[in-house]
Amino acid sequence: MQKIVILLLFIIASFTSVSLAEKTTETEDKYSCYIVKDPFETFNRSMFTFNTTIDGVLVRPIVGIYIGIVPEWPRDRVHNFFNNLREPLTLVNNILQADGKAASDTFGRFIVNTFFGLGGFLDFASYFDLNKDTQRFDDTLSKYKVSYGSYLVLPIIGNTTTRGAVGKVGDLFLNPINHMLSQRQQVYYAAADNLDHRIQYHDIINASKKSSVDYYGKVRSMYIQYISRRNIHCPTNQPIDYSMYEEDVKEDSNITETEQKETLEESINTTQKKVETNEYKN
Amino acid sequence: MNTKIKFILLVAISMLMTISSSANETEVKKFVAGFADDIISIVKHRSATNNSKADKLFRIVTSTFDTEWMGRFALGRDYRKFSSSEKSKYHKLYNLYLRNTYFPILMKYEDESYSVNRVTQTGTNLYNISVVIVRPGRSPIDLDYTVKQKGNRYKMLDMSIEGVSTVFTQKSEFGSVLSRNGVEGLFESLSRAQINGT
Repeated sequence: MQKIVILLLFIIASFTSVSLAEKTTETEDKYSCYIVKDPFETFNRSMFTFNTTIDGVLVRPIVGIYIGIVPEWPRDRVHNFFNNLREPLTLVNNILQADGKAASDTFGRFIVNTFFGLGGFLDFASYFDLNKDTQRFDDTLSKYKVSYGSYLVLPIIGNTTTRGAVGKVGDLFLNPINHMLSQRQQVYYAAADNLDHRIQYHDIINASKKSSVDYYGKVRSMYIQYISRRNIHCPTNQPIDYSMYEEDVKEDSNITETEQKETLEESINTTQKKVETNEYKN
Repeated sequence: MNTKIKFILLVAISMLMTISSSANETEVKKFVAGFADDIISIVKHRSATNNSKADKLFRIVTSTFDTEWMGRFALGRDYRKFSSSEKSKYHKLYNLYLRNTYFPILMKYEDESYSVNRVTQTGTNLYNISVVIVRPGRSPIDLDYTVKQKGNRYKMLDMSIEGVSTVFTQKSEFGSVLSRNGVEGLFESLSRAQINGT
């Protein structure tokens, strides 16, 4: 088992050496943050299929039963509890990022929610404007302008990037919670923590899966956009400038506005007919 | 004398531009708020069936969004390689695809309220509107709408949820299918998705 872990770490490190070398420069195109880099696509697609199968057979039914039985309010309290356990790791990363304000907020959140929020089940800290901003070692690397490298799908772990994989190894060592638990307890804790994440995204996963034309392509794009928004060197919280795609999206003189309206009406009629003939499932 | 007139003219023009820009921003804000109100009123209509809600939502979404632009954006340069019959078929399938991807998301906003936070002009006649969906007892959701002004009309080009853009996601997804399975593969996937999505 130890050998497998070392082998896995070695593979991750090899991937990452490429990623770490790709430091972002000031002159780098700011839109590169939105461009998906996926040189390991064949491997990633296999892992994605493997993970989706495991999820469908094992995880999804458990999550479905949990959501079906437990009402939203207690579910949210359990989620708060796990969020609170994530604060110590966030604090370590706030310190590594030399962000004093965030560190004091995180420390305040943890103390308030642990002692006044019944061990974190209630999020009292948000009432004092101490808002949650989970930080991982991946975010810290991003803060120091290490680019995300390439998209990567790992068995069981799921979506990440080459930088994110290093981040996950870093989190194992940096998380104060892990130092208080035995190895077996760490495994249980990691499983429960990931299950809590999976529960939060249950509806999004279901909707995305149903409506995708290429589920892998959709998840990959959504993941890269999500981490790009968190990347400090990407144009975070800045509107996308679509003008860079103007050439690609030039008006098509072959399709007039009347034809476009007809297409739309036709689509509505077709849809209506399918609804009337119960061709669509409810 | 000439310098003074030039100066006064410049000040007047810049004032007019500021007033016009702020008037546009107010109009854009109104346009987005109107769209949000329409969606909420349909979704909250408890006696209506899911199918009738879906149809109403579809009509609003397709009349508010520039679906033709979105369809072209999703394909990028590959769109130009399509024949006119392929383009026509693609747009039909794309509209149905939108119906089935937008509908389930919007139907969930039953108990939520919203606030329009910020309007930013990002290009010529192009605006970004930040909206926050407020959910009782839960974390708020950030939405960003991109709106293009066409004459005195406005059309939405994109909607981003928590920073994830609809058209960028489609661009990546459709591009991936096109490169792996070709045009017919894309049509087949779009047809399958519109049935699965409902």
